[in-house]
Amino acid sequence: MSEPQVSPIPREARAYQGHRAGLITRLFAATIDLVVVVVIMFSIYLGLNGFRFMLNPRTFEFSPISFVRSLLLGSGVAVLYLAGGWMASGRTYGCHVMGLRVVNFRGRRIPPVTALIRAAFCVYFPIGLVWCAASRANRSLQDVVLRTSVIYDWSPLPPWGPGHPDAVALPPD
Amino acid sequence: MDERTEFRKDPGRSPYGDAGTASGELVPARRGPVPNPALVAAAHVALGATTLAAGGVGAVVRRTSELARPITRVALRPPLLPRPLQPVSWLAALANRGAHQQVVALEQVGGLLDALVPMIAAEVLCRLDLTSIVLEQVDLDAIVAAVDIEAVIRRLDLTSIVLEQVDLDAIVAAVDIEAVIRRLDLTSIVLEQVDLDAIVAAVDIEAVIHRLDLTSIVLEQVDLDAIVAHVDLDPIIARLDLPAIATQVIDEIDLPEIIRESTGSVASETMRGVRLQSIAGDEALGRAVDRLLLRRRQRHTEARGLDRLFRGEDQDDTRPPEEK
Repeated sequence: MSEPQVSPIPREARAYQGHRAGLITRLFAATIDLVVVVVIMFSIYLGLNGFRFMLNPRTFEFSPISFVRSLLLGSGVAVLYLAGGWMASGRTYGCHVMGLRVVNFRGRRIPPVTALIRAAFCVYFPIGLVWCAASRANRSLQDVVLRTSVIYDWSPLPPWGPGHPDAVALPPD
Repeated sequence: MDERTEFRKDPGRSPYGDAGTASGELVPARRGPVPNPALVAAAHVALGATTLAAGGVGAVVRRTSELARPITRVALRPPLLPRPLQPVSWLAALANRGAHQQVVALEQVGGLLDALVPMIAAEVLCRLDLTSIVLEQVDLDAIVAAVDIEAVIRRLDLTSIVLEQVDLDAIVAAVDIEAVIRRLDLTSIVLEQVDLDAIVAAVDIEAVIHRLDLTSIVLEQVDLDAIVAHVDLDPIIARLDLPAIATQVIDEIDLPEIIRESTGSVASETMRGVRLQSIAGDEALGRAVDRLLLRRRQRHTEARGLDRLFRGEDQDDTRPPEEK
């Protein structure tokens, strides 16, 4: 039996904790993640050009931006960013802002391979997210295929960690 | 027997009618049935005649004895005769012999009476109703009035008599103890008659306290609010080590962690508002889609395996969002 703790989650939001998120919240999170990826891409662009400027400042010019290359590179960055966030804490920055967390069918952290596949699935087939609006369980196509869930979890610590307000001993994988 | 009780003036019962009433003669006091007045009168006449005759005979005898006394004296003690030969000596011998025979006869009669009287008395008593006789003939009130009751009581051991003869339990069972108690001023009786100090000194106070549920007694009988209202809390608070208590409480609840979590997860009211608005948008969109798809059952958005994880997150309202 866990000791009673003071929950930092507002009272009006506690009833939703652990429930799968809907399309609106997930779109907001995806939008924020997209902005993050764009910022990362822009940072990479500036970083590469700055490195080039340091090597040859006289003949330096900003490298031209190729849409296809940027799209390919951006998708790769997005896959790594999403997969890294989900593997680390179950959430990306967009999920962190919107209070979401990606968990597997046991409610625990998704494994790296599943995280990579899900990230690629989301990046290259984003329309699958719309399925959560039609799903009776608020599950996107990626969630249905990979048996994952995106839940409301406003706690900054993952539920499988000791610091979570309601952390309990989950069954082993 | 006292004449006042043996006889009384009773004109109504006189056997001589009104004349007797006028004379005021004393008649025996009787409680039994009144005898035939004619027989009583005849008996009184016979008694009077007998008395008169006896008086006459007595007078004749006295006169005759006075006249014959000198002759009798000479006849009993003739002169010139020795004393043993005188008639008076013979008479003395006869008297001695008679006295001896009287003693013997009394002894014989006494023995005979000793044997007969109890038998006769028993037979007589068997045929008599002594109780009714006593009740009719004896003035019990006068007898009881003459008895020294106090002396009798002093000679009796009333305590042992009561203990042996009286069923005290039955008597006590019939007594209305409550009525008796109500009539008594028990407080004054106890205060005057009982040595309360000695009783209290003999009481095992600790045993009494152990048998009492002091907590419930205090909760039911004592106005704790009134007591606390009279308590001066300032000295008590001054004796407390408030900084140490505050430090202990902060350590127990891990206040820094709570502050960190609160500021880290729900950074601002704006963030919380955006999240709640997005949740409301999710629900609205879900309801709209369900209506569009003609769904009647509600969505099951609780993730499997997480019910235990988030159980008790909101103990005041654990209903799923769709049911609210």
